[in-house]
Amino acid sequence: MSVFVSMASLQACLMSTPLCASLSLPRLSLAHPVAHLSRPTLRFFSGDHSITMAQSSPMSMPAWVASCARGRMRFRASLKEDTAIDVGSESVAARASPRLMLVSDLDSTMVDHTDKAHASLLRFNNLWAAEYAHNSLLVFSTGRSLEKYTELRRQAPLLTPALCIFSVGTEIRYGVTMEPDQDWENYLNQGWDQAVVLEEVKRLNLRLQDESEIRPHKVSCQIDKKDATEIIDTLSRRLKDRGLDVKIIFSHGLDLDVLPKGAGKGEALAFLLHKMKTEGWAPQETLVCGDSGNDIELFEVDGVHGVIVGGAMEELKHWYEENGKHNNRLHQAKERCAGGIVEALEELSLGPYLSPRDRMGPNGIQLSDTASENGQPKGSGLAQREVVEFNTFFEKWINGEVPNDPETFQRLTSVIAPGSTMVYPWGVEKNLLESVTDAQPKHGLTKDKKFRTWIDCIQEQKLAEGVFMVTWHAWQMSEGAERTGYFATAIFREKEGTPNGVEWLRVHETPRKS
Amino acid sequence: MGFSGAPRLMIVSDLDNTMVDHKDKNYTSLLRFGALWQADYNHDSLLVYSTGRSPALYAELRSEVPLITPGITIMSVGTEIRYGDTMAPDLGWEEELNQGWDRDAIVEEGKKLDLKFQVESEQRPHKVSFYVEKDKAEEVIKTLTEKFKERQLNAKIIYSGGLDLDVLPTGAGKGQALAYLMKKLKAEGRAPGHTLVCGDSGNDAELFTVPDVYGVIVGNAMEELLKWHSEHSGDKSHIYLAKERCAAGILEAMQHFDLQPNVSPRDQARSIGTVGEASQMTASTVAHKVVDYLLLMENWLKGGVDKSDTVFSRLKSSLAPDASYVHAFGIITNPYEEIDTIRELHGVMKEKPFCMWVDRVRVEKMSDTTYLARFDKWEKLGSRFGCAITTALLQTKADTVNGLQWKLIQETWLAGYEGSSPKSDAPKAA
Repeated sequence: MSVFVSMASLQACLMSTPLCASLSLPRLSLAHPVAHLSRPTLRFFSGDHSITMAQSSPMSMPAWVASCARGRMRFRASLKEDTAIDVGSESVAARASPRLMLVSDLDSTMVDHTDKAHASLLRFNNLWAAEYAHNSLLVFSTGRSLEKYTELRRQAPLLTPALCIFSVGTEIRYGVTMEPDQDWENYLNQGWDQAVVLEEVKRLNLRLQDESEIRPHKVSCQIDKKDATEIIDTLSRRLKDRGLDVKIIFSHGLDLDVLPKGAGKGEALAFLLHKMKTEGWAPQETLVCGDSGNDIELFEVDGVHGVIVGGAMEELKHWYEENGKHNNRLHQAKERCAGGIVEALEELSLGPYLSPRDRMGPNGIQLSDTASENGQPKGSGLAQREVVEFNTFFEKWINGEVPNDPETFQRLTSVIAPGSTMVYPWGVEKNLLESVTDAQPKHGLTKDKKFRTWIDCIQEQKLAEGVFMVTWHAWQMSEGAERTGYFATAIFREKEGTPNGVEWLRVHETPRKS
Repeated sequence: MGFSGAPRLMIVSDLDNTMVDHKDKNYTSLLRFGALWQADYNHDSLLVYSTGRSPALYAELRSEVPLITPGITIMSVGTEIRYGDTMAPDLGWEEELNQGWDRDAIVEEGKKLDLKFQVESEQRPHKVSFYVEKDKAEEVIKTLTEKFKERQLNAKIIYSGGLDLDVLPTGAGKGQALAYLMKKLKAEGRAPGHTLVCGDSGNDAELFTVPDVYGVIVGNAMEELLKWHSEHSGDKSHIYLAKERCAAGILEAMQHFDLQPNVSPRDQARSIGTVGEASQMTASTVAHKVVDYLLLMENWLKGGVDKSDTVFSRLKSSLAPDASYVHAFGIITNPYEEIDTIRELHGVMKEKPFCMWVDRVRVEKMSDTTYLARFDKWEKLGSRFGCAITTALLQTKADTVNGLQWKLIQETWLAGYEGSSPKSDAPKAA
């Protein structure tokens, strides 16, 4: 697509060209072996006790390290580089190590299916955008396939993760374009043959899950709990006889997944951590979050913190009783789902746990306790926090969730530079101060049909001394209506005496292509 | 007005057949003028349209023709003064015109003479308008004048275009409105450095009698104005008779009166220009470069520049490698990475009725290295207009041809002027 010229009439003359979104980062290569994985095992759960079967050949070094020694990776991350990137060169740019890498399961962990309003997920999103997006990494690790994940994204207000681990750790995909990790695929091909697995599964008359759940490196069935032990026993023997090396996982009291031996949520995470470490940007802390059997491996990865969310399944709670209770890096949360994740951030002291929503008092939003953190360079992440706080306040005002108090409303008007303008997604440009002031009488406008917003992919960039640009994807949803999304950009200038040290100069919103 | 100081130059121009040449469907000279204004004047000078058209007809003209947005619009033959993009009315002027004005009485007299009323949209609070044939004009004017005197009505008659007869308050008219405006500006300490008035027909005559202005009568002016000029007994040295038509005549006058700059970017060598030192960069030079870049893009598409590597590399080097372009149709791309697709578009609009222009260019300096630009980017293909309200960030960069690089461009369709989305199935947006 050409710069500046967007008439469709050009399309007739244009050759169709693939369009790439977002910045591509330099290629990575792996070289060093590492042995931090616990011994891979077969495990399954039947009711009240766990039975673990050891692997026939213990591994001291993950085989995938050798197989991707000279891999070329393209990794799209949500972290913004501090140094300029020389696009096209093979050198690895200096990259900041994420303060926290949060690896979470989706169903019943990040997403609470019993809450149609997704209140705790929105609260998590709010916290993430304000306090973590600028220096931490969000990873989803789900049993779902890409297809079912896409479906879930339409139903629940999920943020965009830096990468996704699908189908019980058999697929690793990066960024928005979901580029698969080739090395991981190559590794999983060892001792695996999907056709053979399917044959053996058919021989045992097992009921296969939906087509979307049968993936190149995963065959999934549904079985009865009472038959589990026997089925797993038989199947593993038969596959071994046919020369395959597999892992069988039983979870949710129902799902049976057959994977390559090296696969699994834990293995995939270990692979990732190893890669990051080799490249010199391993996260300072990692928090894994789960609720069921196939999450156990996550908790067993070396050096991670973990949270078992409230409402977790028996099989995981049982594992915790047996193996995790003594581990002070693990927390069993009282709160359900995303609420439990936030609880863990607090209990395990992994970072801020009060979102702008939580800090919303009768006098507007209380200052974040990290705003005056020692050693935090001035302005870093503050314009970003201002965006989240401003939007949170605005949402609560329109919903009538804060008192209709003119002094309180000044929180919004006092941070707008005179002469600032905003381009609205419906195609008008207005004086920003005027249009925000116009919103004051609209207090409680949506109190009967609450209006929810969340912010995704938020990034702050320093343009010059005291001048910042923040870009984000804004989402809005009214009860019972389709969500709408905008691409937003705002420019800020440092200003003393404002809640976050910045004032708004210009905002521009463009509707997303639907 | 986007700025608060005294305008360096104020241009007050009639529209039909002065700024706008209806005979040229390519609107070449209008685009030339527009490019000059946006590149070099919008940041510190004032453009005023003074038209006989009513608001409705003015809006119609804006939707047909590539006119840039003025700072002030004087409509309905000087009876309505509106400010800025929001077209806020001048209430003080309305009050002045209300003195002794009795609209109903005038309508009555017109009906008595069985005059043909113009359409509803042309009847305005301080303007009653008729169509009167040339041969009947003199008599009608004489009779009406008598009637007004009889009834002591504060009204005057302006006949122009060989057809339009407008009745206005005596204190109204293009000239009076301009005088009022200039008085107001002076009182605010904002008297313009120079003023240039431009016209082509009868109702423009008054403009030329306002004190301390330069004037241009464009090359295609009507008999009635030329007649006025030759019969005018006062000092005429400030009035220039242009040879060229319409907006080209205005440019000609700017050269004649040595109002600088006066060469449109559209008339300059088709290149972006020389390397500029970052320290020499100002908001207004950046504005000029914004106009230049868009012109280069238009020329590339129309095949008006060579499909050469030199030219292409100028297009490319003006983009930051990590630039971000949020398209109005809702996806985000990196234009630097996609620039090669533009190579293929060379000449794609050759022979087509296509043009691009910018309006409302405002550039603000954020720091020595960063500039925030806001403008409307218009495209016209045949009779279809598309407009994207644009926000852009530019950063100085040594060793590039233009000394500047685009870092961010974000567009949103102007309501009512949506362009269309490409039909290609692009992958999901960022």
